[in-house]
Amino acid sequence: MLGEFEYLLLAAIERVGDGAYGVSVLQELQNITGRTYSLGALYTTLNRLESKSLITTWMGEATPQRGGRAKRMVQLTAAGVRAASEFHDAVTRASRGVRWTKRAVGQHS
Amino acid sequence: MSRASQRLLKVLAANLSPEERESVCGDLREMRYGLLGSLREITGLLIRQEIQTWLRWQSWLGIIGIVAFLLIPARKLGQLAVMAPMQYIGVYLKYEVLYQSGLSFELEAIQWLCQIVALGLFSWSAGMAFRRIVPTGPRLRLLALWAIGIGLITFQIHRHGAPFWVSIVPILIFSAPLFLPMLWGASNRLSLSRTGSIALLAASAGAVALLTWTSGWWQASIVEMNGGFRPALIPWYARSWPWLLAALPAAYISLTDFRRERGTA
Repeated sequence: MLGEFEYLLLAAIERVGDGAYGVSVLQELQNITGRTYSLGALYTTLNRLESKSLITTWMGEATPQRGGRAKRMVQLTAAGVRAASEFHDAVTRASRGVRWTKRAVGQHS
Repeated sequence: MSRASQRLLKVLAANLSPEERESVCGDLREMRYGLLGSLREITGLLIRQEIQTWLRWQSWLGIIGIVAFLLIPARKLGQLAVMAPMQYIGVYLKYEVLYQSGLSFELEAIQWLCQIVALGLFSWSAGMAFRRIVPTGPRLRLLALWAIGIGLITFQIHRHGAPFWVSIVPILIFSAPLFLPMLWGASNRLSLSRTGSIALLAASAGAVALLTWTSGWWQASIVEMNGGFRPALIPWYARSWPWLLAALPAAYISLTDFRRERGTA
């Protein structure tokens, strides 16, 4: 089972699609959640997902705006799509019939 | 960014693998991070990587099963290899005679050479295993190993109550080259294939078993000094099996779970 951040990262990679790399994935992640994440969190999780064979990475082209440095391109594997799908299904099932309305803590309707 | 700041960033980023360094530095540049932001991001990444490494049980098993296993005899051999010539030099300087240990000079020399060779083997293997198990950046890794080596020698000598300034400082200076094999093994200058690593580790484990449980050449020295009389001993193979068992975790790691080489530029 994936962790929450792992799932968010897989979702961000999928949303960016072709040409996903460090910066684009990080920006998409921040757009989705409205939170800021460090590069450390991103790369550590990318390494973990790659070691689980859920994503595949390779070095892409270098651009002048990156000071001639290459990008680390990211793509979901079939196992990654399956794991994300299972996580999504589990969250959907768990959320069925649950209403997260704002109410005072301890107040039951 | 000033040249000094860029230099600082470069030193810190050198602890990342080449591919990671390339992509992270490029990302930082693209996102227009300043010096402090870049330092924070790279430091954060290094800390996270360290935590990830030490949260894995395989890392602990590797350190205890391989590195510590090899450093125990290396520590003893390092002490012996340094102390023997120092003893000769000390006695000669004080009394102007050659030190007599009870062994012939040739046997002493052979013994010393064997100790140097074994020390090289054990310490290089420990350094190499450390590099394979702990993917810390090269500079941090060398610093850590240097500290471990110096710490072990200091502990060994201090335990015998030698005054610090009189004995430990010169020995630390003289023993520094003896830790070069370990630092060499920990650097990425030479890499072995998995089969080569396993063969080397197996040879090291076998040598540890022979040296420590049969007393190796120390036993030969005792025999020499006792006029050829060999004290009754349990056969070496009977005493080696606990060490061979202890080597199993190392073998397991070698065969199944060595971390992917991260390489350094």
